[in-house]
Amino acid sequence: MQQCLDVHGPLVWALARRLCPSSADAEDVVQEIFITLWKSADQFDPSLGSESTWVTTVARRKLIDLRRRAARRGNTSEVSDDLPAELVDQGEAAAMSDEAARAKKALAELRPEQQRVLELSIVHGLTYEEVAQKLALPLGTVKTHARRGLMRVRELLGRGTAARPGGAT
Amino acid sequence: MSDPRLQRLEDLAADRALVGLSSAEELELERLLVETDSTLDGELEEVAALLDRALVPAHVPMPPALAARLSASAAHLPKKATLRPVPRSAPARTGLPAWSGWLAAAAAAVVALFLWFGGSDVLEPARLRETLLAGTDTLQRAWSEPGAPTGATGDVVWSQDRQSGVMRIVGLAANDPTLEQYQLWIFDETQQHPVDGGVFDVVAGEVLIPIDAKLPVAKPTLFAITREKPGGVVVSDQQRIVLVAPI
Repeated sequence: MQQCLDVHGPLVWALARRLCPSSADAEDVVQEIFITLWKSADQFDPSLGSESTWVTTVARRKLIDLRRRAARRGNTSEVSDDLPAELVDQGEAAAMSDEAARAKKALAELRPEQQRVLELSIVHGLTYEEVAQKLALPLGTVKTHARRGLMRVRELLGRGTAARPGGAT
Repeated sequence: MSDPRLQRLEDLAADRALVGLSSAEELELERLLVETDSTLDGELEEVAALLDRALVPAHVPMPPALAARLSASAAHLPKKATLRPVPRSAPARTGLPAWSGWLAAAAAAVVALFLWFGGSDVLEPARLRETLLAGTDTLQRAWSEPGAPTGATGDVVWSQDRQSGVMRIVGLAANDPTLEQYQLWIFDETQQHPVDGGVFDVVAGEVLIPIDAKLPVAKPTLFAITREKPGGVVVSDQQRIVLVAPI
């Protein structure tokens, strides 16, 4: 467990700092994330993906829940394209795994508007409404871009088997 | 895509991966996943996680104080709670924990987190209860009333391996959440204070409440439900215990 903390702590902390409005919020949610990881560790299946991806998936789910609760209480953070400087600085230095590199390559094959929608949603944690406002697009169009973009990346990564109408770029 | 359920499934799975779902949508997604025998839900969440790592591959050292708190917590977790690549080894236990100071701080934090998260659970409570009852390690204990009988009944189901459980409560007085709420406490032989099992509300009739233990439970001895102020408390004075279930 200590090894898990040593290996994945910086990844989880970077995610939390990016998607939480404050450092204090990030500290709280990181504790919650690691408790969840430890409690559900036996659900991790290495045949389905890397440990880092599983940790990121669990952390993102918690962080998305956090933002939904905050939004329900009217406590939303500012929409911004800016990332904390520590993440920008570290981003270039951190080594990217092979699977993440393949995901980035797959993303580059999407239509520009699909890429933009996914970037705003995933990197900045924006809601569909916030993305629609930022890109001056109808809400339905944003949702369509998001769904088709994710489905297309899934196909390109070989994770989906069936061809999906509407999944073409 | 002739089956409209598949279109809806894709929408919900994408929403879950990017912006999350309401409780009703979670149930709808679960139903569709079962009906269509699909794994799409998890796959899109993994795709989003991969894109996240690809777009911002940052690793930032945690604040030392936070790392220390997490290390202390990790040292007291049950044996099962470890990722596969990490060698499994039983953590040493030392009677009453020396980390009770952190425990109080962590309890305060997780109470706040619970209020924020609202105790969301992946599985719908009835399904979770069925799953747990099928397990070999699962405890099932009936509630009893320590005070004047009101007719409240039910039971608590708890899996030590899964660190998960569900309360079934019948006939407990409905509460006004603006005035008071119910709170579950799990008494653990190895811990100085009971573990917060979550704040919840009761409506008339039978309710199923997932247990959301905020800390790992090593040796549960008693489940107790108290009435507390809205939002719950960090440490209960246990003056208003309404139901108990000894192990």
